[in-house]
Amino acid sequence: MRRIAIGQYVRGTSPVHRMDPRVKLVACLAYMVSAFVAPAPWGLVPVLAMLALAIAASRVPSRLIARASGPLAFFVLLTVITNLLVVHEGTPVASLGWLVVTDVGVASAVVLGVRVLALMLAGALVTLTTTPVGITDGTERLLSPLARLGVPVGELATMVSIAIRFIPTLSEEMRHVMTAQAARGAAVDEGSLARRARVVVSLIVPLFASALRHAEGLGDAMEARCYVGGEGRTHYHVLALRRVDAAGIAVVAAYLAVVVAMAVAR
Amino acid sequence: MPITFEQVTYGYDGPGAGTRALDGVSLTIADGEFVGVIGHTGSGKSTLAELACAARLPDAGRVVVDGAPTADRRGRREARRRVGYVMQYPERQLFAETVGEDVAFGPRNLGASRDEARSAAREALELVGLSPDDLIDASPFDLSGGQRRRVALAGVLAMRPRAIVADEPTAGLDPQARQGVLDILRDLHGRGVTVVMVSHDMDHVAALAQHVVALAHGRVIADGTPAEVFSRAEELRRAGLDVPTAARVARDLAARGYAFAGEVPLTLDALARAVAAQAGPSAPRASAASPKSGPESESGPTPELEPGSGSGGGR
Repeated sequence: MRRIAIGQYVRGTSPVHRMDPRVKLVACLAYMVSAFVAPAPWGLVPVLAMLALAIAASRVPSRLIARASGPLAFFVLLTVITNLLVVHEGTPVASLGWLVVTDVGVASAVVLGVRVLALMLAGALVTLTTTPVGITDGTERLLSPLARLGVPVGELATMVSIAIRFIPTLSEEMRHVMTAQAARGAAVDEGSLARRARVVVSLIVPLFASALRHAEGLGDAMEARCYVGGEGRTHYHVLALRRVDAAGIAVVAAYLAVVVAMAVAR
Repeated sequence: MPITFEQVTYGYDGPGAGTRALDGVSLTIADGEFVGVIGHTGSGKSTLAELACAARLPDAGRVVVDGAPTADRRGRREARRRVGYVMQYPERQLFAETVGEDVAFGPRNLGASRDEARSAAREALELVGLSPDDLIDASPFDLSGGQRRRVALAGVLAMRPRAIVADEPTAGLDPQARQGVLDILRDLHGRGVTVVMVSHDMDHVAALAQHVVALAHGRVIADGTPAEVFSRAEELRRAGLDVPTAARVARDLAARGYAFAGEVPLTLDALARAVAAQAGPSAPRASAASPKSGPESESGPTPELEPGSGSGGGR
């Protein structure tokens, strides 16, 4: 695909898609914590099983999962390499000058690699199966208690969802401007550093100009439709827990019970 | 410099996957031609424009600019240097603090000295009908919409391209500014520059183009002279396109008993002459000057009826 697609929403009707975003967000958070507290090595079995189950239930094609995790692979690799090189306990299995890799290092690298991978794929799965609007709505509702402390939760949520909404618009315009500047002999990938800096300016200024133009237009359009924000705003899509959410909560609760039991038993 | 498309296929989801923006497109743009590319939204006309100036490379097939395929590194570099690209809403590419700097950006990137670039900028501003003395030090963001579009055009012309590809160059302008942009393109064509204009305004295309390519769903559905392409009204309508206003009026008139000799008039000027010719000797001077002139006789009897001036579309 010739556009950015880290965890971009994939339309679907699977149980995971239909779940309430609040449930998905909380479940994902709990899962992320569990992936780190689960005792190695056997505790990782339920962790991976839960992930596999969630991915299977989401019916997101594995091709898309792989693509979404492509950029994340870098972090996993970084974690693995750091662990390989930093841990010096145990017996050495390989060495290259002052770089020593020990058996304990290998084990901890693998374990930590699996944990980080599980964490990132869980996050990716939520964004793959939840619309950006769903995520902001869910976050807003989860954070709504903070509104009592004076945090403008609703406004923040509106800002975030507008920002997300404009990513494709701005990236499309950016692409056109890049093409146009490249046609004027200004490609980002050639020339000296000074010249590249000038090329970047020729892209940044139009980007800001178009962001401001959109902001003005949208502001007017929202005002024309009497947007005031603040308290008392109702939602078009009212979030409500349904049977699929109950099932999801049951599965995740069972999983958490297993992991906690294993952690306590150790 | 001719630009040829040979069985070009391009898809936004990469080769072989998803829907294709262009699907097996073959066409030839001859040296010095004015080509109008028409098509409904999503027909692939913008993609065709970007492929013609080597901003994109075909997934399959070849785009050949001046004998060199754009898939080759050298061919691509030459194509980008020689084919100017005017994107949709080109004023959005403006970024420099002054008009002069912005217009000189292209020549500077091609390695021109500061002085050379500045004189190229002045020349280009004159080409687009702006006074260099008044505007060269102004901020592009202080200008009117029409002026900004002219400045952006000048930024492309300052590189002295031998061909120019313009994607909807009149979109979002008021009628007067629209006419101004069309006049600039006609003027360029008169200087021997090959012009490819992507448009969905049939009147503009009819007024200016010598060669019309109609696209639908990524395929060429008609390719020929304006008269040939616009004579296929039914096919165009199925593709979500229409014929020029003049041709539509002429068709309605024909249904009411007017008989048009020769080709169907495509511009309002041609239509006016054809109607005047039918009105008989009692009609005013147009028919008196050339009583039997068909619409295809492209020498207008009066200066203000100069053929193809596009006045019908703009004023």
